[in-house]
Amino acid sequence: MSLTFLNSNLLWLLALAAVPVLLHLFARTKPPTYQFSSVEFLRRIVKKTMRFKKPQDILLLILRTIAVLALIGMFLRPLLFTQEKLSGLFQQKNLVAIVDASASMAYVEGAQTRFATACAETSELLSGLSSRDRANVIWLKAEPESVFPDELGENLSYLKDQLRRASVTSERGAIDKAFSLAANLLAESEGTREICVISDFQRSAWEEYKPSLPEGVDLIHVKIGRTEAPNHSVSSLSFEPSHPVVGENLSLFAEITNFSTLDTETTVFSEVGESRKSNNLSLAAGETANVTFHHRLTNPGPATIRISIAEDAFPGDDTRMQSVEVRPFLRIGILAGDDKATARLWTRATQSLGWAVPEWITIEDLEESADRFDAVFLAGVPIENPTSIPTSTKVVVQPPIGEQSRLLPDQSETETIVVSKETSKGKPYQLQISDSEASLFDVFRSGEHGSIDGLGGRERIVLSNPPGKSTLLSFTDGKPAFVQLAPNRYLSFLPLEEASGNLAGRVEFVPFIAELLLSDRSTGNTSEIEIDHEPGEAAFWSPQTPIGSENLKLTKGKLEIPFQPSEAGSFRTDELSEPGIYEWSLNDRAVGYSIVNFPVSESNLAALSPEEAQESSSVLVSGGRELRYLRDGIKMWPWLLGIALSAVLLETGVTLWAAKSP
Amino acid sequence: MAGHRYLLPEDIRKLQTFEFAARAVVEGYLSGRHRSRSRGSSIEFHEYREYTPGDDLKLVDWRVFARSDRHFLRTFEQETNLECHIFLDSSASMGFSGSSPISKLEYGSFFAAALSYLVIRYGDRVSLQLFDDKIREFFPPGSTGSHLNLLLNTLERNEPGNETSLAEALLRSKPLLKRKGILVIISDFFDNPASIFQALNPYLHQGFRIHLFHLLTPGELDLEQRGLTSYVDLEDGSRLIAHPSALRQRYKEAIEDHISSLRQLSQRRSVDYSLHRTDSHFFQLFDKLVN
Repeated sequence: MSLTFLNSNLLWLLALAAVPVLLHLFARTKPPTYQFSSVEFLRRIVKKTMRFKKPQDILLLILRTIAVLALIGMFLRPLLFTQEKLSGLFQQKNLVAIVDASASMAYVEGAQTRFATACAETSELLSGLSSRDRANVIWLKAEPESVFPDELGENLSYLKDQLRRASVTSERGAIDKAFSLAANLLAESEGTREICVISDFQRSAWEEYKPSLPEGVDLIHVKIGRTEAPNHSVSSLSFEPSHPVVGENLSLFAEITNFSTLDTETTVFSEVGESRKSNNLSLAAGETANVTFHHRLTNPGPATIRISIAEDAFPGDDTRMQSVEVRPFLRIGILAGDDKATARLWTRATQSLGWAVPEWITIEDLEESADRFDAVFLAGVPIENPTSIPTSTKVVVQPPIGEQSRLLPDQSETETIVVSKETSKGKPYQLQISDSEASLFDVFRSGEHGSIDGLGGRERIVLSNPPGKSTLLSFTDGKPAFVQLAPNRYLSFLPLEEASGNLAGRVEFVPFIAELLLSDRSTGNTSEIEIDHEPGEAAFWSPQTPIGSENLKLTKGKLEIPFQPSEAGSFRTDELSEPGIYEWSLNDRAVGYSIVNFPVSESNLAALSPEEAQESSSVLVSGGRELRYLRDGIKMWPWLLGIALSAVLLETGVTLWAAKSP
Repeated sequence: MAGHRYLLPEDIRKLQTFEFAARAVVEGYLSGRHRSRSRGSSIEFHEYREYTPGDDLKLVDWRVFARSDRHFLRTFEQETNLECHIFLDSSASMGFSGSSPISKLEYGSFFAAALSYLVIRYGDRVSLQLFDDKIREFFPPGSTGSHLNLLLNTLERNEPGNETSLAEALLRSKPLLKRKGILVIISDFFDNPASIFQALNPYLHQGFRIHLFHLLTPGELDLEQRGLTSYVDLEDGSRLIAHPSALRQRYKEAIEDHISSLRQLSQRRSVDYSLHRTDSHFFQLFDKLVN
């Protein structure tokens, strides 16, 4: 804290403060001498009254000195600076105000949002600038932008007008970019240079941030809002399977987080297409709860998924959305090699499912477009060249008889494996479940669909050196019958043909194939799905089949969103600022969705404490007015005038009281 | 008599018509020509008076009883000499004049001189004692012109001295006064009243008629209006810085208490007490004396 006097040339006047003291001392020490007959009476009285008179005299002296000091101080025109910010008091000021417009600033405190408060404080801050000062305002959001492009301006009224019109975004704030932009704006400025950040200093965004500023630039933090703000949000949403088919159950997995310090209760709503469900949920303070919903998918095509909770003081993060493409069937590729009989049995089994469409393919089809298929069955196909197949495509291989260098199409070459057919001369080979925990066999636990145990035949395929991987089914003598080499990668040695044992003719076979196709399907993790965006990002959409943009529309509710064609038949929008479901429609029929979800990091509204917020800044203030006082100083003369008048009034009162008191 | 500072010719002219002496004699003591109504043991017959129980049987005239068979007392007029003892306080405090043209000592000296003149003029005897904390001057009773001259010269030479100690002076002077008479004490009585009257007790027992003349200047009765003042005590030189306006009321109350105390003690002991301001003429003291 320091004091500056605008009329410092009048500082000598302070010496006048000694006048009442001197008068008092002179009056006390050298009163006129008066020879009196006897002062004994006086002495007795003085002894009684002195204890009252002395404080009166001292009080009067103090009041008079204060009055004189205050009056002199008034003429000196002092400015009080609460912190050491005196540099450039009389220089041109260059100010860049970074106003946090990120999603957390939408939190309502009192009667207005934090953002509205920030704009008001910024406006107050600008009011403290003189006509020669220059300023600019940068909106801190996903792509920070300044009101005056590329330079500071003197039109402060325009800046204030923009502050009045501004609205908060749902975006994450790119702090680095904002500071970089501010530094560029100040680069050519002369005079004092200040970057003033007006923000709630949300902990998740600011805790790790340490700004590096150009030399000579002061950083001031204006903290808006309280340190704690209660909120609960839908913090994640995923679903399973990622590519469901009609009739399949879609499982939704949501996380609901309570960011407040109090326990709370809320209702969670889930919505998939036309299907809606809800569930009540109790949330302990600071806890994240998992909620699961199951919806049966009844219609093919794109569908929206929405998880929401009862609205709170910060509604932006109360909903999360996804979209899912509900497929009418699974596409199965059948590649028949030497063992065409097995290929036909697989084809017949998949056809009988109703929701799977088998297609006989060539090795070239597999090499070029394996990703078109949900599953590929290879029956006795020798694989000479390795083929890349997406991990999401299930591969089931029955290896051909003979020496093989690799068993799976996407497997690297291994030591030679001899595949041979073995015939039982005695009892048929019998199957048994080796991995009873495997979900593949869940369907057989009730007995409704028969039992795998005990099935078998007289022929089987054996390997010279069986892989030491997870054996799901084996023969009773321990030889593997069905092996999982990796996720979605299987080897089958099952005796399917009628001559071998007619396993394909048993009632258990179709359910087994169905479970095999539906098992291990990946979840719809939001981060892996390109249709999920954050506010402030451009949305891309790639139709499954190429379409023109003539009849394509992108809408959010009734609002039509512009877009343009992008690479490889995809489409691109400008930055989408509002969370929500953006529908791509062709001839008024929904063909896809782009989802913009509230940024998860903005949900935790806990802010840095004032001490933490000050660590990285030169100065921390609570508002624009305080910053004005800090920068321009508090004019002290009205206070001094008040003090002088008060002292004079008090002095009069004390004098009257002293005169009246005996 | 002319030429004395404290006995001016115009005062002498006024005093010649003053009836002090006659009135004083009426009160009790005659010197030569003056007779007292108190019946005494002198040789001059006064009257016969019928005996009443309690009268001294020595005064019964037995010859009248033989003739008339009634008891009559033969009374005589007592012839007395007025002996006036003047005690003049000459302490330093008596030198205070304040806003008055003369000090208390000067005022008291005027009165003492006039009283001495009157007493001697009527042939009575007057003594003078000047004291402060001790007896500074003592002149035994005398009735001659030269005695008066001596007293007047002494008064002229007199200056304010040390601290007041009336009680001490009274105690010391008692052996010096051989015969009872009128004791006139002129002082500002800045002393403890109780100790003053304790010192007066021997005089009262011996039958002295005592007059206390309390002299105070107006400035002592009502503290003068001044600014902050450094008061210097005339007697002990001590200093006290005070604002009179702050003390005035309490001072007046204290002085009044002191005067009241002296007055009450005087009434109890049948002592004449009178307070006088030095801005009034000293002749008024004679009124108090004879009344």
